[in-house]
Amino acid sequence: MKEFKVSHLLRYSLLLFFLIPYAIFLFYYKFSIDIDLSELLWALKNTLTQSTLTALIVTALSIPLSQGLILLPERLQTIVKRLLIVPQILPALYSILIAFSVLNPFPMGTMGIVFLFVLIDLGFATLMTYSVTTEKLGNMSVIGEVYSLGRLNFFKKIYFPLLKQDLIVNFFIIFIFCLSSFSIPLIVGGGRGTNLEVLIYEKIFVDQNWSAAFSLCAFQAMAIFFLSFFLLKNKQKDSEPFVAGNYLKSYVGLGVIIGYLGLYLGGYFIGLYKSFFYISFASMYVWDLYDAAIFTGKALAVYLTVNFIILVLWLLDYLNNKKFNLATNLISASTVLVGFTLYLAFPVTREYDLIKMTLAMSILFFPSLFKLFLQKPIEDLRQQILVAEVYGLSKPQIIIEIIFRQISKQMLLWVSFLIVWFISEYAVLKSLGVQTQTLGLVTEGFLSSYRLPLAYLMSFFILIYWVGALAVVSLILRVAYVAYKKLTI
Amino acid sequence: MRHFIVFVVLVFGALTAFYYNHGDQVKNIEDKKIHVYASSSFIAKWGPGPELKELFEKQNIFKVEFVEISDMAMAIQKISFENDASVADVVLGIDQFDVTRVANKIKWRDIERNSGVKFVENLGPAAVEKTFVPYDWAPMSFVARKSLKTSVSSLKDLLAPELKNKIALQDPRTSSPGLQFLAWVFESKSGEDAIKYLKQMSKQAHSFSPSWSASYGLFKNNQSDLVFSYVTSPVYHLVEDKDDQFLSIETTEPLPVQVEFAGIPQTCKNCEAAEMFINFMLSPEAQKIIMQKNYMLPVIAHVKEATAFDALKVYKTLPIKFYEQSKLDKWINTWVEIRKNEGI
Repeated sequence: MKEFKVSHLLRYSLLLFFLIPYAIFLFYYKFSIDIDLSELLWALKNTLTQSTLTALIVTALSIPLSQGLILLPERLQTIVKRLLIVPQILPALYSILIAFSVLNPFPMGTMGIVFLFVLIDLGFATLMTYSVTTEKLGNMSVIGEVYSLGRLNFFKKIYFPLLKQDLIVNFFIIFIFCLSSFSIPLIVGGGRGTNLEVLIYEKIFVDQNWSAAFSLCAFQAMAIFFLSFFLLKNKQKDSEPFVAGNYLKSYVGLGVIIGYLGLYLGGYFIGLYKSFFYISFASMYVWDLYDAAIFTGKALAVYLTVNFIILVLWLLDYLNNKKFNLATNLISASTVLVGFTLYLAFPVTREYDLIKMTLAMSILFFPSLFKLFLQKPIEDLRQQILVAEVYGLSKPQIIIEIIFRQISKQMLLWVSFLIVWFISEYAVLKSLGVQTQTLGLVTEGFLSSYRLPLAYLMSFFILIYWVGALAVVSLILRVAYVAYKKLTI
Repeated sequence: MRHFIVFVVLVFGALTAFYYNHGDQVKNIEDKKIHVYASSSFIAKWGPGPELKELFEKQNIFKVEFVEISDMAMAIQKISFENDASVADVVLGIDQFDVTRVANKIKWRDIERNSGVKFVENLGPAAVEKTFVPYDWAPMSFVARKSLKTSVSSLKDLLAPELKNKIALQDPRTSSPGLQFLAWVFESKSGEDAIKYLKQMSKQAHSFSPSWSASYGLFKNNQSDLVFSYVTSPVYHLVEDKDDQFLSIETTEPLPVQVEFAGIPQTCKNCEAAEMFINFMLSPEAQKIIMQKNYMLPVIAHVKEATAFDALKVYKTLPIKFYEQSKLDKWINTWVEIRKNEGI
């Protein structure tokens, strides 16, 4: 009975943690449903157009691109994989600047939004498609060749039937990314590009109609929740050793990868190269940068610790209930709502910066990053967990020895996203009213004044900081594991 | 056991005494501190905040603590929620539109000004406003590169076919410069003409950015040929970048003027010190700092003499007005409709 209660307490506490912004809103405001239906439908139409178009293009392109990736030798492939993830982790504003430097004049409006979404998400989608291809196709391609199936028939009879479900999942992941995107539709959307998130922003900032904003947030959150709950489910399948047959190799795909990386990274490095002429200006801000780097480091340590604790609690909850917490579907909460409810709830003094930052970023990023990187690998260990439970292993042992040990690579990826999104973030921090300078806020300061080149230099510094932080975290985790082993033995 | 209880009582007593003593110290420090709410660009190292703080603290016993605000409406909403618990003593960065649109959400104190402060003539009614004190201003116009081939000397010239999709503007709902442009059009043209002009202008616009900085970034990135900005923007490039290739355009229509005000919420904690700070901001030394760091013009005479700002043209400007909320709403709604139906 006692255990039953504790497990329920844990389950609901975790769920409530991710619902804090909604609770704060209801504390401050009398809520009444306030939705202008024509406005909602208009924003919904824009949102669906942008998201569907992007997800379709990106998912379709990711197929030949993933086959281009397969062509590469292992070491080069590792490097290219890392480069492909860069557009996804750089703040959206850099992608906007890169796109502007590549396309002049840039097509503002829906086409511009879709172009930017494709630019940002294509690399990530390629990696997802590559991942499911290597996991699920085993040696099918070679077998197809032996039977002289022909490339077209291979795709028709083997590739799509086997990967259909995963490609649909990839489609919806990209769809959700676009659905809750804010800065790109805001800057390049124009009047006809207003999506739901921009409408929420306008309701809060322009009309100061919090009831309408909350109604829209609740609608968006519910839509994403149901999408996530019903559609983002991976079919479980035992992995077979992957053998790359010729049907799964594409030189055209490789060419597109080169063009894509050239376009994105080329645009970035041209901007960066031009910024190096301003390095003497940057030297004026060395001490500010030092302070910001130190504070960011402290905040990052707290943030990662809290996220690690949430992860452990999350896994305990999973082991108790044999299914993941419902909060795993609360992906893509409205950044505007989270930022401003916490801004209203906490004093605007420096002492509260760490709490606000940790709370907001955990609520915003934990569920989506967990779902993206950890949920499936953990679900794949279901059988092993069952056997371990039968043998009487304790829950901490299962978490450390079975789960963490086998998903260490995915955890590193998860941590790396947690780090880079945290250190480069500024929009949420601005809305939170954070008073201490972080690396992200210093960048925003440069961006919002006349000092654009310095912002480029900052982005480079953030990338270096990210690599350094990741190395430190990885070292700490290894040392902690060795210490744990010694202590338990 | 008795010794242990005595020990615990002693430790507890010492900690309590320390806490209360420390509490008194904190209270004393708080009594001498003023909390100034200001934008990030004001507080930033390159902004006027740090130097103003240093100078004020040298001249007075009060310490200044800046609190960064990202949006005026939200900051005022927060002060309103906190009510007596609010720590805001001074709010900076209130513009003419904020005075009408958001400032009425809370109560403000009247500010007694030092005698002898002589405001520049352009400020008109802004100079005698009792509740809000102006501390900088600048006319607004279009900024271009000197290499721009199209000749622009009026609002009408902006409709030239060569400038189609080449003008970076701001969204008047989220950006004060954006609203300045809208007000400029409605002030310079009659109702129907203004609407017709805005419809044509929406074809010329490269974009309507949510903020001045985003639109200026587009311009600097060569995405647009013109950007609506402050006439002081070219001075920034001249002084900081040593680049004299930018100019602000003088039009036949008088230019709109952006004024920034300081105010003291009724719930202030160190109200007199707050008043001292605002009066300090009107001193020639402080005005010079604001001018040189904020790249805005000083509100008192003679400060810009012998500086790069002295070379700025004297532009014909529109009289400064505090528009009624209903008028602003009507203009914005008109713009929203035009943009939905005609523009990008």
